Amino acid sequence: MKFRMLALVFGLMGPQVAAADLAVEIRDSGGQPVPNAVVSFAPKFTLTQPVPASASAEMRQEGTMFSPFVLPVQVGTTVSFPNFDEFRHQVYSFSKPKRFELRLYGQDESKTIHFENSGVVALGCNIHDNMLAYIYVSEHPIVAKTGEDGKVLVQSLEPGEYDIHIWHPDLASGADPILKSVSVSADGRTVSGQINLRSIRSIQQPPAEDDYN
Amino acid sequence: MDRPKATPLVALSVALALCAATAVEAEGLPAVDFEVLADARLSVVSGEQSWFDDWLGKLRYGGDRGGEGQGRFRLAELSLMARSDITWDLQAFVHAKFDPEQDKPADLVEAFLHYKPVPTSSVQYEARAGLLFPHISRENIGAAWTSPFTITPSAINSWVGEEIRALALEGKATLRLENQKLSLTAAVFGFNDPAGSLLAIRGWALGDYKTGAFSQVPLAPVPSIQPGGFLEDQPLWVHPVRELDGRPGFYASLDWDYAKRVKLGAFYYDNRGDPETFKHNQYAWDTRFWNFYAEVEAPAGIKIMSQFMTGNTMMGTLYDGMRMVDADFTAGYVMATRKLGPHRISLRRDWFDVDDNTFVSQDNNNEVGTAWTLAFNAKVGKKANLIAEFLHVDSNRPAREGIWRDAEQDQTQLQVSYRQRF
Ligand SMILES: [Cu+2]
Repeated sequence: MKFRMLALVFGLMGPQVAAADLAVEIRDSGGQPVPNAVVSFAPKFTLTQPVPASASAEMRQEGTMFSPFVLPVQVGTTVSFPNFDEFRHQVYSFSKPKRFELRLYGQDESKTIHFENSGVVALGCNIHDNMLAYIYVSEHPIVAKTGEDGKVLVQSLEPGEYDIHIWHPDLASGADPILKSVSVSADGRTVSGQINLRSIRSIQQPPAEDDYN
Repeated sequence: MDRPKATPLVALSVALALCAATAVEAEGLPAVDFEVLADARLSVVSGEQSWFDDWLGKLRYGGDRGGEGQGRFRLAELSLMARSDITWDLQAFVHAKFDPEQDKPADLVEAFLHYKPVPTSSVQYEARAGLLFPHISRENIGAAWTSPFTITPSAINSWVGEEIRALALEGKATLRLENQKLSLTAAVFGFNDPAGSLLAIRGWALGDYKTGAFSQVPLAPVPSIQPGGFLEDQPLWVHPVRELDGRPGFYASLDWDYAKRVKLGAFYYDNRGDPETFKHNQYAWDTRFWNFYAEVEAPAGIKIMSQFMTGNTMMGTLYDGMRMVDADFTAGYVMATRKLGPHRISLRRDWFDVDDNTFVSQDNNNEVGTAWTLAFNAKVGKKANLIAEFLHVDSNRPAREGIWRDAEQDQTQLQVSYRQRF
């Protein structure tokens, strides 16, 4: 952790390396913007500056829903699971990269899980059937997620060539799409990618108002 | 009243309550959570007397003996539900109820343990044990086994509430695939031997009454069950939740959910009653039925729901190879329902039918009928609903002639229900 902090400080201080901003826009085959798409950057060169890992990531339980619906993190990130509801949640995953069960009793309780393997971790709650979320654990040093407009601005990239890997919960089967050899120059640019999604989307529905048994 | 066979049920519910009260603190889980449902009901109804008034009326409320319409304002139900998390994977649930039709001041509707550990693969296993409703009704998904769609459930689910309850051991496996869910449920059960009596002797009905485990429901004094009648041993009541023949029954179901847009299911029930057993003034009825359902999210926010039930019930000794009572029963409904903001509107068509296969001249249990139901459920508070319902039922039951009425009867009922949960 100390090392990372140090790196961050160096990164900020290092004026000798030019940094570029890259806007990424993801649309589906119908041309509609795709929110919640994860874009991860695999540099095709050796980064001269280590990229600071995001200090922390959070998957909240709030209003009988997970938030965010998609959380991109790097391998090695510790994710906290704070409970903002007055009742308990029993969060689980049986996805290959991380199998776990978290018992969150009540409000303000938070537990953490460390993600050391890359891949897609689907989350559920054993008490609330409607709850659904994804943690995308990336082996790449830079990860981001598109907003409602299908766009994301990735800032302070080191100029060079990158493969941009795209993932989304509703990707049609097949290999994950990659935008190959995108070159990022100091003056920045915009790239757009198109992905094929299943017609039936996985969504996290709000809780049913009536639940007997 | 002498009810020796009911003891295991009492023991079970007490055991559940005790488990709940003691085991909880250790894990730091919340103690017992209580929920109350109160239902105040205004009803105006035309036509014959209700079956609750020892007659053959099809609805929970009815006219007077002369067939004059009646208006009533009553507490329709006061239900108390208790849930307790014994461990993270094991929950106890008890539902007790008071209502004016019930012949006990308070009675038990359900009392069971639900074991549901966290899944470790795409197949999840769970189990229930105790007094419970098998999952037949697609309508009764609200608190205290109420329907959020209408006040009065369909003929099928009205009957489930009246006569179907199981002291069961039930296992369920659910396979989750992308956007799909497939569940297989299987159970062995007892304590439901008299189920089928109402369908044969009274026929189908439409009402939101659910029978408690220790309660009896009345039968109209049709000539066949009067002294000197063809079935004179049958008293003028049924106690549906009883074990009489010591033979366990079973039920099983298969449910499929496609992206929460299409849901299909098939359910089979056989109480394996011995039709010749007569104990504690009750016959064991051999009752078997299928229940199928389909639910589809249609355009314009409309959901179409439908159930179809078909089965047979038999009771009594064999004469010339024929059971004293041998009746086929069939019913179905189609409902269209739509949310309007926090409110909901539902329209339902019901069909029901009983075909008596034996001794029709001594004891005619034939019946055919239809009903329309239109309901508007307004959410008037965080835990309060005001529901208005129009219901019209037409039926033909020749047994009515035995109590000096026309076989053909119709009733129109208007109800307003105020449901408050605490
Ligand atoms: Cu939960």
